[in-house]
Amino acid sequence: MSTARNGTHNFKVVLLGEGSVGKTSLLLRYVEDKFNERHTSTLQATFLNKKINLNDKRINLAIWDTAGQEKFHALGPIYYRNSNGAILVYDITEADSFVKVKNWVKELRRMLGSDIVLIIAGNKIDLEHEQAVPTEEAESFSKSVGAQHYYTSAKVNYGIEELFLVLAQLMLQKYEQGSQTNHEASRASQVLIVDDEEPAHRSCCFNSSRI
Amino acid sequence: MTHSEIKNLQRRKTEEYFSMKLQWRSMTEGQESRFSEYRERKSLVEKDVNRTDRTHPFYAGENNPNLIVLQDILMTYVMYNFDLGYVQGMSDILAPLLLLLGNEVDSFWCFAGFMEKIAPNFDMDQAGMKQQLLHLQQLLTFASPELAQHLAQKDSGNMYFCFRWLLVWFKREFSHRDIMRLWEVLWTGLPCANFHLLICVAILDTEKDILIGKDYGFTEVLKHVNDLSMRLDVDKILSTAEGIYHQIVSAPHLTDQIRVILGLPTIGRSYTEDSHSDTEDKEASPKAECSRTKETSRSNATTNGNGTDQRVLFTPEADEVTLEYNGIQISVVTKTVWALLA
Repeated sequence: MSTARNGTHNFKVVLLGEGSVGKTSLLLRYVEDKFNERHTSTLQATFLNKKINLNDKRINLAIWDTAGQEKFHALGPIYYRNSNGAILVYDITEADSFVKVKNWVKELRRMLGSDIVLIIAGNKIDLEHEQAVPTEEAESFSKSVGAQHYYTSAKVNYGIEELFLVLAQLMLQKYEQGSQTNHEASRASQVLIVDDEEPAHRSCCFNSSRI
Repeated sequence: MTHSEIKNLQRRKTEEYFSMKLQWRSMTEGQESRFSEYRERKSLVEKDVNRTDRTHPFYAGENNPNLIVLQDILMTYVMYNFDLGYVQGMSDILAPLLLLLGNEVDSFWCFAGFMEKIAPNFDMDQAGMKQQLLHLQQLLTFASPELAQHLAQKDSGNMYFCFRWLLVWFKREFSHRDIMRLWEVLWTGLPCANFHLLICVAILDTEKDILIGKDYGFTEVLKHVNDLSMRLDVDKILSTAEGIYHQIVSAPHLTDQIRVILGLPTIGRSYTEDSHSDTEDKEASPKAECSRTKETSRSNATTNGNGTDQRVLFTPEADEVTLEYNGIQISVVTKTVWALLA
């Protein structure tokens, strides 16, 4: 759940996707700048925090990593509830993993509606020559469900900073829209931000970071 | 079991193993392309084998032949139990067994025995895991009510932070050396059924002061528990768990609910001996499987380096048969293979 305490926004983000698409690797690259090709499979959800500054605002991302295999799907709701954003990861060399992304999108939209910001990440783009999910298909699907689509590679550290930055931007935007609405409805309880009149524009890093 | 009965059993099990192995080894590319459920399982196995215990010397390095054995056993298990197939966590269960036994066939049967015991952990709807987490919560409420209450208040009463512990029986929490000690104890089925749940209670009880004292909530509890990995003292935990067991069974207010979980006779019914020995038999089976097969020759361990030839180098006493098929000399070992090829 997003809160703004001491001017810091806390956002919860969840990484979802089929087993072995690189969820843990994306997280470890982003938070600790580490990469291990043979990181053990994730059997239990875990999370890492990352602090960033955006538009002069301090943002804390609590990023949740989950177990990917279909058999563990039933655990999903425990970890995605109250999320502000979700990164749905697929492996660009595995068409099946993109099907799983579609399923997650359906489930998240059904359970959380449009409250959650969705980003679809085509990981392992360093293996572009083995690409099994056509770019047009991935992008048109993403567009149709109101999600951003990015290519990433945890291995060569490509596209990850940008992805999280845009996600943070969109979550902030959604939060500010929400608190404005609340303000208008005279529900001041949630507003606690330093300067909430800042228009939620797409900053310079936004469009240029599209790959 | 007499010596010759054991020998016979070994031979039967060896033949059975290789006949199942042959089923997937002989699958053509065309068959595979029309068999998506098989392909899915195979792809999962390959991915996980490449990331299982790779820091341990036994599995470290490029082209480590032990990885091929790990993969072969898991693939053969897919044919042994296709409905269950492969689930993440299975490679964790197998890795210490292969390391200990060093022999493909023995490791397979030991693994199959272990899997039979924990198959409910891998139910599609997670029913088996949920049931255990509920039992764990009930045991904790009885043994450490203060902690149970704290967790319930912190939205952690479902005990999901213990999921990994239960799923692979603490494999991710201990070194290979320690996990083999812990598993061996758990396989005995002593001192009671579901002793692994009391191991959980013991670990949580040890952490109680931190979890309550620091007023940890849902996320902090999960993080704290995850971070205990590789920092736990197996001997201390085993003796704590045993102590908790004795406290529980001697508690005057011991309820039937707890008795059922621990496989103890319920109050007012008196078939003590029956139910106890019954539990013991059931619980001890994987261990029995292991010790039976431990004797087998190690000379054949894992010489399969290149993964292309059909390697059948196991018990030296097996009937080695060389047959000619369409002018090609094929060396096979068991009658099963002969029958399948002829």
